[in-house]
Amino acid sequence: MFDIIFYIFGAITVGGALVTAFARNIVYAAFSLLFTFFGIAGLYIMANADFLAVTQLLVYVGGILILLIFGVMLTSRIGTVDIRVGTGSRWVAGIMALGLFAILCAAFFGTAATHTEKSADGKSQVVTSWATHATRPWSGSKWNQDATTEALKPKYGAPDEVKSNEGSSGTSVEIGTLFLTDYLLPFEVISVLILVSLLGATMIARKEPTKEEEAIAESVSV
Amino acid sequence: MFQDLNQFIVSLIGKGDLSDILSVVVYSALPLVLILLYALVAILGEMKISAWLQDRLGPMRTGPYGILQPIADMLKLIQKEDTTPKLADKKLYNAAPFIVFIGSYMAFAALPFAAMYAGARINTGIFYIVAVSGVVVVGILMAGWGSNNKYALLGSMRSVAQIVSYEIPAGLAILSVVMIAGTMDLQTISHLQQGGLQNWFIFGGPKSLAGFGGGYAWILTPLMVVSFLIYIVASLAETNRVPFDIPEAESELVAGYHTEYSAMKFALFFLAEYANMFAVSAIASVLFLGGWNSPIAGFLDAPWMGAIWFIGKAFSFVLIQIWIRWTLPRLRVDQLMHICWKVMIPFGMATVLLVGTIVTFLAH
Amino acid sequence: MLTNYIPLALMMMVAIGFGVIMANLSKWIGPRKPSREKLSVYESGMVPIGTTHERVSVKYYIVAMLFIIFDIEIVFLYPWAVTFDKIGAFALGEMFLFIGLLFIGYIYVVKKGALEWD
Repeated sequence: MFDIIFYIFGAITVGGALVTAFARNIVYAAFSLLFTFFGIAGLYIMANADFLAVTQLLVYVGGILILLIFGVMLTSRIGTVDIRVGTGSRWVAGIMALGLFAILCAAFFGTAATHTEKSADGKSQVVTSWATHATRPWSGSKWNQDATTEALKPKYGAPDEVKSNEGSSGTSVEIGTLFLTDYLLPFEVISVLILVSLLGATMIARKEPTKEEEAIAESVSV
Repeated sequence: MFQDLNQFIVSLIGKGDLSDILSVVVYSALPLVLILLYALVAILGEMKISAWLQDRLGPMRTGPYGILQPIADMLKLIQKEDTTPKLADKKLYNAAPFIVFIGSYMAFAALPFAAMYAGARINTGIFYIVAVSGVVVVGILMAGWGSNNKYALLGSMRSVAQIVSYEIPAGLAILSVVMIAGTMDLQTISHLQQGGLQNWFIFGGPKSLAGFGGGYAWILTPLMVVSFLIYIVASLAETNRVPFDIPEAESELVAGYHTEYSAMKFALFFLAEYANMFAVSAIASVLFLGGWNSPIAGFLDAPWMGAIWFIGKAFSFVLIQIWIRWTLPRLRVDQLMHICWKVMIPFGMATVLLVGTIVTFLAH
Repeated sequence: MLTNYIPLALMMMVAIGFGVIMANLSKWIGPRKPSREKLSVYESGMVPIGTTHERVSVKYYIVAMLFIIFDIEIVFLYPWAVTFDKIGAFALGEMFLFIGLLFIGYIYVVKKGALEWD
């Protein structure tokens, strides 16, 4: 059952991406990214990365996609322009894409997953396995009635039982802890990165146009 | 709750796959029933309150005191012709109402209606609700572009710019509650506020639990009131309600992004708008005012009464929104952006840092 | 954890089903008498002038750009908010640095006038 859900999300993702790549109308290409981003969020949840999934929704659907569509809209008459590229570069692009696909496949099938198992004599040993059915994140939780019932049954406890953070077994706590301990430097570098992009955005946005540019802008927007 | 429902359905049609599927569907559709019933009441409330504020009677003919007016309106909408402008982009035009409605309904999935009912209890709770509102934004842009109407396009652009701008102060205001609670799970946040008024987050959160500063949490009250006000103002802007209804300013933009929509497609937009009003009110009541908890410990706090408290709190916020709509004039676009970017965001950041400082020193 | 998200998928299906029924209800029940005027774009009763999809103002783009930057900041604040009280004053200091850097940028944006809507 989870396999089917996985393939549904996969189909949504790939379908949206295909429309984005092949649509003649750039507006369709932009809007179909909604389905791609949504499908990817679903796949993140399948991989037990719930915080990442919600972040995907918040940043990509709520931010990047809006920015893209605004970008399309402030381009003059883009809605009617056929934006497909000529056939000349198609072969090169195809070969590049196939090469990238091969690299991704190599990475996917070459990554070993390790987990600890108890052997027959009671010793624990590390077992290495490659991308198989058993390494899928959801293979442990079988689809059955109990799973549904369990998922639909909220915990009900007295306030004393609900300690801070109890019941939230998600990834957000771990991510926060890791940011503040092991990955402290990347965390602070991110703030510098955000600062730089903020300054950059302001610089670009408020650049006073020269006379030439104004003339071009006027001739285009009529 | 799910087991009770399942048992009830099993007692009706017998045990089997059908009863399981039926109980899952009923369980997931409960918020939908709530939205529909609430929309009828809220529309009547909007008509009656506007009438009273303007010294009129409002609808009086349909049923006693006109209370059947929303039902009559709904039946009228069903019978209307579904028009699609010839020059509209059919795909985007038809998809937009769905996307908007799905976006607002998905927010209901994570709301804790009572101690025993939340559509889905997910540990990213409030963060998820903030995120799905992005889907609504995309739907609004689809409607604006797909309608091929100047008013619709302008309305949708304004609406989106406004919604995304006010998402930042709203996110910062929510953050101060998350910082005290130490969780994003809305059901846990509700549980933490049990035991009466003094434990609500607007008064600094639970006083009896260790790790929150105990009784000293009272000193957070002024900061939390600021957060609460920021959230209320931002939520008015996110639902495009007066005084932030520039996207639908009828004197300049007719009806904004749904100008071209008619019949039930218009009804879907309308429903989504009212559902959004309820959702933001419900979030305000869960985060700051105790959610499904009774204000006095032990007073009417049977488990099922939680739903009554929750809906009552949320609905009174909706009534306040209606009251504001018929009282205040509309802001200009530059005033709107000024309030968001230059007043609310600095205040929000300062509140987050101050709450963080106090919580850190209280908890240790 | 994965099972917690099953109800979300179910609710989504309910929403899609309800949406399909609602949007098509008036198509099935309502009349269908299209005319040229009815299907033309509404422009206050006048004959529509020019095309709709002109270029929109770049101001919207700037707002969206600034929104993404602040949005990403908030995304980083949330995991911090659920853990900072367990780590202590150190975590608080880090966040003062994080928000402080962003605030410098914010002051620059305000001074540059990128937030003026004119």
